[in-house]
Amino acid sequence: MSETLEKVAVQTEESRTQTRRAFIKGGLAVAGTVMFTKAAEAAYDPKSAVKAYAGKKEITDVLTDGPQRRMLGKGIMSSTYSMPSVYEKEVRKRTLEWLTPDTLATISMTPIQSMHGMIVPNGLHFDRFHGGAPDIDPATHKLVIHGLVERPLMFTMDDLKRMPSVTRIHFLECPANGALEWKGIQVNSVQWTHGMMSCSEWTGVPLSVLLKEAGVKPEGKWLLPEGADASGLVRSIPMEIALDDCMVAYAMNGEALRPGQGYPIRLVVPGCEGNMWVKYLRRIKVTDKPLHHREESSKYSELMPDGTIQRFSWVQETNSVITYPSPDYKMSGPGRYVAKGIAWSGRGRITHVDVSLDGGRNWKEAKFTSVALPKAWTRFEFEFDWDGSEMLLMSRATDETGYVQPPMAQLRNAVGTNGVYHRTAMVTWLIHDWKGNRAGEIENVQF
Amino acid sequence: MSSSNKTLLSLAIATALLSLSGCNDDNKSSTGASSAPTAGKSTAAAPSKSMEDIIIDVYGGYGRGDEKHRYLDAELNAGKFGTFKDRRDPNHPYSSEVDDKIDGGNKGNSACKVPKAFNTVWENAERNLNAEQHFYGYGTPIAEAAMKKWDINVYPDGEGLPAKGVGMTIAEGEKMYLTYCAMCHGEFAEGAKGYLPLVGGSLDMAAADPTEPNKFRTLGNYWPYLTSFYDYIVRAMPFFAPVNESIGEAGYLGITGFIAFAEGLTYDGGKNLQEDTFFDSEMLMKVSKEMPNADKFFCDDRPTTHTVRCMTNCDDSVVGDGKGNTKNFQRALIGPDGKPQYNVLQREDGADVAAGVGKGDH
Repeated sequence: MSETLEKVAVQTEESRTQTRRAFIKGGLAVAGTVMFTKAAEAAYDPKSAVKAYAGKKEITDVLTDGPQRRMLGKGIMSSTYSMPSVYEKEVRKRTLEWLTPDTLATISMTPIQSMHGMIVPNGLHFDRFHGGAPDIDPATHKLVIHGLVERPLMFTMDDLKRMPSVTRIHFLECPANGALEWKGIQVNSVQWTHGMMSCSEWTGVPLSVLLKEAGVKPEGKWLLPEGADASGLVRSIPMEIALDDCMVAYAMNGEALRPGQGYPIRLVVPGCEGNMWVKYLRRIKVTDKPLHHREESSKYSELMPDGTIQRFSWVQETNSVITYPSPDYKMSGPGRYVAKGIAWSGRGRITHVDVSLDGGRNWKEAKFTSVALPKAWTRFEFEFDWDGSEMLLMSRATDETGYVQPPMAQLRNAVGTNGVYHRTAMVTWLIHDWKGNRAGEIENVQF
Repeated sequence: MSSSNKTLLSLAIATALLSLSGCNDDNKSSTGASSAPTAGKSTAAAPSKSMEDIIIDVYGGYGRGDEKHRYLDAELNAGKFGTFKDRRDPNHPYSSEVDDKIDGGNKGNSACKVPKAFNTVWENAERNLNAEQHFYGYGTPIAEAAMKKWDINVYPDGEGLPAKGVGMTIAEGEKMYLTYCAMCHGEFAEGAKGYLPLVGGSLDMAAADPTEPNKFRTLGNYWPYLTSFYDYIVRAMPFFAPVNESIGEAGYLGITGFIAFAEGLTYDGGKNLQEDTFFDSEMLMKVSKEMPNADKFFCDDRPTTHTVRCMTNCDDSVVGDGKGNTKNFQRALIGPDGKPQYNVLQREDGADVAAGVGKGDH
């Protein structure tokens, strides 16, 4: 067997050499084709596939039919709204009881470690409630645009759905994502370290279209969107961000917003703090000054080591996390691993994700396995061989503005550890060696 | 008219001319306004755009990848624009500070802005504002007066506050506080039932050591304006019964006055509030101008880190603990059983289901 493999390896190398020669000799147009066919012919030998299975015991027992093969399943109308398989019941939003004294003004986290692709299904989108989630009847819900506009207007839900729409994929992240671990390790799952975040396809009316419909005045510099729920939450949004890419969304992932996400409408402020995406939106006042609402002065502002306080920190900075292997999983022995993760930036598109296996000394570029859209989750994968020894796994994202995600030590030096929000530094997964009593465990550690 | 509108118009004219001259054998292409932007290039039936163009149409100028639009560019990362303190100068292209001396700085209508250097944001905003638009007429006109009950915003300059003379003494405010607030925030606003204290925080918020616990953020040390506090309690408190008409404007002012009193806030250059002080909008504004830490607030000046995308043999400053040591990492506290102790108790039926999360699911 090993002989065959060696032969294959030699052949492949030969064919590559031939290809290079052909390329140099024959010129680009011809060689391009030659290179493709020759490489394709020589590169794959089915026999080489057996190597990874050498030494594994072959199954010889005849496979039998399971019960599902011999009886009928459920009828077509057994569910008029499909729910996940009963075997997926561990994949749930979760919260931490110690975060807040009640269940009405707190947060649930998305099980990021079990998510695939760019989109989080609506049922697993993290929720941040400031006063519980109301059930609002869309037939009576109204949106008013008033203040510094030529013609204050009230829109019903029907009015809004008649307007032009746009559909975009954007992540939505609480600025407190990662906040649990400013001062060290507290949690053991990506759900807790990064779960105050989701990514969805949003559909709604471009805010610029609605503002122009009402005749926004040149002296209107700020927007004060407000919710119809018990918190009546407001954020002050500068006109440039409002006109840039905001929308009044009525749909996520193809269906109406869920009540926890602002049904029937919410503001979408791509790339910016989740609390700016005001839910249950009922009013947008155009003004010449910000409101300095509690949620942009006493909260969602960052205390610096010198006692100064950063406010109006709108953008969610570039970030990334490896979701597999991660603390929810265990390594299954030395061998090849495909690390998987997500990267995102509130300033635009992700351009690179790099992975380090040695604590940050050396890095290799990961490949994207999804489209890299602006202000959206971008999927990456990175293959590595694990020899069973202790390893430090980290990812580092770069966005289109050239901003590079910092190591934790660097961020700590710059902003201290009292800021609560915007902890966007790298995280580190320690992979325990394959010999000890924690063999293959993956531990959340912090530099 | 913006240049892009001119381009659109000229292309539309070109389309019309093409269809008139009979060059275009497909009627559909000359009727739709949507065909205008690409009609000049070809007479083909359907205008086709590259996927990149469509993404830029839908997502704005992000993702163009040209150097001009990399607003937080290499020059910033190389430190050309100075430290983040330099960037607090309002004239700095990367500054989000607004020169608000006219309004009295943080004592009045201070504001922040989108830095000029964020050129993609500014260009998208300009383009969207000036893009041609139909007026659909789907909304219903509404009088500003009809917004009276909804428009409860109270701004730092005092706009939105009740009229002067509406209010109550701080002693009366204390009674309102005890009725509506003390069950969660404590009799003296010291906090209760897990709700954090409203008063009593240290004015000195500087941290000597990064590992020390977060300081309590209270009315005196972490609110730049008392108007914001009033605005907040009117719109969202009491938590279990907000927008409470039985409290009323006078009651909300009295509660604000009592908490300001309990926190030891001052007015008219350091005068203390007294139990018999009548607390109305005028007094609220006087106190708001003396919020102790108002001057500590500054506009977001991120990015504060300028990490280099190093690939091999990186500098010690970005490796491991920031000094090149990759063994010096923090871990969760280790329990008696030798296992790390995590702070992940669950609300779900008291069971710690996190232990099984995701295992075997991949």
